[in-house]
Amino acid sequence: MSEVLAPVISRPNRPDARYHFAAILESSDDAILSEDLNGIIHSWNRAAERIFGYTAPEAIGKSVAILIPPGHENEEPHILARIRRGEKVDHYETVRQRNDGSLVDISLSVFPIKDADGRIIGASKIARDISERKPQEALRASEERFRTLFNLSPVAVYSIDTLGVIQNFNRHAAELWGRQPALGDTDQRFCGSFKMFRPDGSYIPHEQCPMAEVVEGRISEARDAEVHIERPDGSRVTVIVNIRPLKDDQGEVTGAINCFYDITQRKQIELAQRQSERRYRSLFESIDEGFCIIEVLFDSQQRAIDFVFLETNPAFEKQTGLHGAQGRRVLELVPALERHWFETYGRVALTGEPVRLQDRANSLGRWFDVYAFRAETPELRRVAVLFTDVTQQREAHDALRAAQVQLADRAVQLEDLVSERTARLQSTISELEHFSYTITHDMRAPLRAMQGFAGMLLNQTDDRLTAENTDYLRRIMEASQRMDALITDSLQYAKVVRNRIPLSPIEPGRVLRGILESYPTLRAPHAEIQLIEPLPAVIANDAGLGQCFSNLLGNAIKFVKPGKVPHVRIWTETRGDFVRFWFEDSGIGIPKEYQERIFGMFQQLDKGYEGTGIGLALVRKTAERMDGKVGVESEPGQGSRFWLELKHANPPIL
Amino acid sequence: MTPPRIILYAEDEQNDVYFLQRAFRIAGSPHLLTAVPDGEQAVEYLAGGGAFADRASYPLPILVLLDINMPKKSGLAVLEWIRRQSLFKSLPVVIFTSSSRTEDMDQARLLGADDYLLKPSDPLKLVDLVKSLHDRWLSQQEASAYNR
Repeated sequence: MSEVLAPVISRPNRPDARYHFAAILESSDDAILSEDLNGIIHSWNRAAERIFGYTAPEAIGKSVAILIPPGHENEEPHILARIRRGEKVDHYETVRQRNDGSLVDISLSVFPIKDADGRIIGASKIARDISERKPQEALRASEERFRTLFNLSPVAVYSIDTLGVIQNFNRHAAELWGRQPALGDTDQRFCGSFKMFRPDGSYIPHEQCPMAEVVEGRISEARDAEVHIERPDGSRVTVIVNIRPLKDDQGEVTGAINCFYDITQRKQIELAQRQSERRYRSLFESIDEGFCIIEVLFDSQQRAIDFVFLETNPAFEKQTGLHGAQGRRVLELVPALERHWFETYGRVALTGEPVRLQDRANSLGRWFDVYAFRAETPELRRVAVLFTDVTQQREAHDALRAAQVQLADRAVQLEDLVSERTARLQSTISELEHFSYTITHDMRAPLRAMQGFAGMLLNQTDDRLTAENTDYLRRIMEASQRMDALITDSLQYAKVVRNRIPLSPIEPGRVLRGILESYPTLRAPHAEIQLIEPLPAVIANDAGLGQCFSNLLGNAIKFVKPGKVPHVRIWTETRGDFVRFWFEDSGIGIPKEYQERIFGMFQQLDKGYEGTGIGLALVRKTAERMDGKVGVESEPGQGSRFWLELKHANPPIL
Repeated sequence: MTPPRIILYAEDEQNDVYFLQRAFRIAGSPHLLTAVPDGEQAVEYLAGGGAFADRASYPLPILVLLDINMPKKSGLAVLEWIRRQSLFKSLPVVIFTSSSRTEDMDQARLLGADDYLLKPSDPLKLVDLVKSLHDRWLSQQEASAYNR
């Protein structure tokens, strides 16, 4: 229609055509009106009178605003703006207000009106009353909305007719079933699933499923019923079904609709929660540690003043000795409980920082090892307390500590005692040393007298003495000389034992030759002594080394068969860092069993030989003082080989 | 002939005194060996106290021989006392003992002994010792009394 009108209006200089158009205008069922760019109505046909309830005289010269219902005020400026731009508006469906205030649905088409120069001067509007057409369209639109909802719904939906034939189903239903049943298939009735089971695990035949029950009127509907669906691939889902019958105008059942949804995951979470709860419960019930949840009570200054046992486990009683604590305040049960316990738990409740501690509850006569942490939400001021009665360990620990302290005391006492005794012993030793020194020293005076007077007798009056008298005097002198030697050796030995002797490198050859020169008995014809080079320098003490050598040499020449000239060979052997001096004699030899004994004090094997029995003991002690050793190899009748081992002054580099 | 001079000998062992006096006699010493039996009397003699107050009877000695181990006051204590007296700063003092203890020797040297002689175990050897005493300490005495 618009294509016809537009050129007509643009050619107003053809007068006869105007009558035709006027007739068309008047006979049209659509309201046709024109307006200027200010929205003032200029023409108004009969259909406009009918549709809007205003006569032409009433409408012309008025603003089109008289037709605009509340809420549509913006439409007219928009339409006029488009017209000014030379555009048109096609079949715009909207609402207008009649003269009586009622509303009318219209479809509006608007065209620009141009003057002879082509300038836009107004708009022509064709408004069709579409009130009649509207309900059907609305129904269709509604149906469309529901279909969309049906398809997009996150809930699975399907419907059946009275025979159980599936009428439709949505995507979710197919997903939960695990397949897509054919619509209208009479073999697959009541439900699109492969298999169904009740929560107890029993099988549900399709004709007994809740949908069947509803369409067949055995139940009116199903609300939140749990059904387990098995898919063709064997997987299972748990769903909650909600079923309502579909009824016609007469209230006859025409089918049923089922909305169902997957709760498999929820079930799993519930199960896990139940298991967790069960585990927690059994832990709570069975642990040896005491466990309780308390609510801390505060005063107005936020000071913890008491707490209530909300929950206690079975071990609680054994660990605390408190009966029936649950639900009661701790101060009711233990009025003298130390304040620090409230303070600790109060702090945990307020800060949420867990606390581990070991402390005493004197009021309960127990020690507790406690781990406390905030339970649930902060505002509840609840604290979970896991604890153990450690009184025994603590007492054992304390006893151990006390024992340790006591032990340390004893150790100190013992140490004092030891040092005191050592001091006493040392003083006794030095007293003894002094005593032995003095006594040996004092023994010499009478000895000198014996020797002196006997000697004087022997020298002065020997012509008046018998041979027997002279022999007696000589024996007295010899005995006193032996005793003097004994005293000298003893003093020497005591000196070596008592004193540390300074060590330095010593040439043994010089020491040996000095000894050989000063003792005539060590020279021919009394003895033959052979010194074999080399005689390397050793770490020793001059006097000490002389002592050792002269004793060893003295022994070597002493123990020979009477009348025999002793032969002695001296040589050295380097043994690692040590030099071993060998003294080989031609003497009587020493039986094996005595070889160790001869180095002891006052050990004499043969009283037939002169000596004090101190010589070798002195050698051993002196050798030890010079970090050396002494020993012997011997066979009776084969002579002896004594050795003295001392540190090499210039040890060979290996 | 010079008048006999005194050698003071502190010794508790009377046999030793006898042997030394005999050795002086045999050696033909012109000097007189005067013995006191302990350290205390040695000090008293030198100080001219008590029984020794008469210097004419008990003139000062030109040599002192001291045993170490003696009753009342040891020889070392006597030596210490002597060296404290300005009069005896240069009086020759010889320790004459049977002790070969290093401590005793060191102590004697420290306290200012002029010599340290060990008693020979055979008293008959004392004559030689007396001769060497003469050589060392007594030959110069005529020239200046306490000048060595």
